[in-house]
Amino acid sequence: MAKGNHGVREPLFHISKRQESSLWLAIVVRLVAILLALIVCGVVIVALTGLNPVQVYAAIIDGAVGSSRRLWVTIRDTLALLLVAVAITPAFKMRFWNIGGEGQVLIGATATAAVMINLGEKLPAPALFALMIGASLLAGMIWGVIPALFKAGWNTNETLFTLMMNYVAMQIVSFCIVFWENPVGSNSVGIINSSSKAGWLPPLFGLTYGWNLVIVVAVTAFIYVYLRYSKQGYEIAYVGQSVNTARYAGINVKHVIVRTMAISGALCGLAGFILVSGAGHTISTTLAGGRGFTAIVVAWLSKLNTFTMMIVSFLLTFMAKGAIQIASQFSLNENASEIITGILLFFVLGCEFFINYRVEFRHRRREG
Amino acid sequence: MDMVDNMMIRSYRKGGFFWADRRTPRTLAESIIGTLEIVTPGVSTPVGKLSGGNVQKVLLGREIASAPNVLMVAYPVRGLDINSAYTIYSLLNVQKIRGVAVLCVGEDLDVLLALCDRIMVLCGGRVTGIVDASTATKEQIGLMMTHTEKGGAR
Repeated sequence: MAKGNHGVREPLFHISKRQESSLWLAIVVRLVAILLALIVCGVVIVALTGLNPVQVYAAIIDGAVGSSRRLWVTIRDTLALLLVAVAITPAFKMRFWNIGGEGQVLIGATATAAVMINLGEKLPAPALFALMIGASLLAGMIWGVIPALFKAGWNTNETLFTLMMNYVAMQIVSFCIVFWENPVGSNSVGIINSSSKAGWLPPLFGLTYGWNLVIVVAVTAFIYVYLRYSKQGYEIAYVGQSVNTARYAGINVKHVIVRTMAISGALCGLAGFILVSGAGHTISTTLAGGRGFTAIVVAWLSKLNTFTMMIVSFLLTFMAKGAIQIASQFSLNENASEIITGILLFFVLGCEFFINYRVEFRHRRREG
Repeated sequence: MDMVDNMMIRSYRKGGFFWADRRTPRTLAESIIGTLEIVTPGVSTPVGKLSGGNVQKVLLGREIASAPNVLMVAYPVRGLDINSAYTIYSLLNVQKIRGVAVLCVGEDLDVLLALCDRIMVLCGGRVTGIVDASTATKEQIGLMMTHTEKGGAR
């Protein structure tokens, strides 16, 4: 009998958790997800705009890496996103949900801008840069430690606290812009030190963004090593896994929380330094550009693996840059980019389910 | 958290200034797999994937490896199959013979009577008696567990 006994039907499909995780499967599923996402995006584009999807994809690629300058801008923005993602990784590994990356970046940027504007003309370049980097690290560290202290002392919800600190940081930036307006009354700071270029990261080996590359790659490598091979990384992993086990190991949990957030905040502050000194050379409330939040997606999608983060942050930046291109080239609304990125993320996050779980459909019972 | 991470839990601070020493715990983990016959694909397998009995063996192996003077275990065989349970008991026995003071919190009276030298019974937060296990009976201990003494209810 094919369908089994009367009254007892096997369900149409049943879901079971996979026991073994094969790398091959993970890669194939992700590639299929990306392919499906592109197909769905193509359908959506055609349905909504009547454009040829291949043309649209070509424009995306062109916009992101079409010329040497565009390629470097994409790389520069990838580096900024990567740095923030790497910065929040230690906190996330500890299961301290640092949603305050945006604010920590802004505060670091503000500190950098403050040094640039007030001391730019007065100090020689090495001292200026040392002070700028130090200020951004310190500012970001303070911004990260405050929620950590509250978590350690009173077990306040760090998600809400760090999130709210973002808005405080934005207001601080607005406040500073009042003092630094240039020209006066425009409510924007404009390019800082545009004539003297004081405080601008200089080119390295002829590459405009050479220093960005060096700093971000160095920090990425450091965090990888720190989390994986150092004693403090071990402590972070245990505090994240099980606070009670950490205590059993003699780990001072409060100490670890504050220390890790100090590092996380400081590195976000450094990202602020890079954005001001190595990219836009200006300060505004939108300087961080949502990177504090996108970085969470990058870190989470990469499962907190710093190398995967390089790829993911590049892909996301690539899509963002490409979307700007198609928005202007085909006169699409700028939200078209968000739609494409959204569909892509939907499929990539959705395929995680198929990587971890197996779905089996009802099959015919073998004949007797 | 794999076996090596678990072995390190007491000793991770030893060694250099910044770097965690993983080699010593790894050797320890491999030797424990051998001596306690732990069924595991390897030292890098997450301990959560092992069966309950093997997890207990890993934990007990770790504690014993630190050569304690006092070993405290609470319900060490809860949820384990009979084979693993008896492996745990024999491990505790070996520690006893070595001169380690073993404090075992348990609820299976037969096991306690066989395993322990002295049994302390608590009831309602109070010590109702400390008896010598070789001469005590199950009934005696049972009564001590229930607010009554030989002679009737209060």
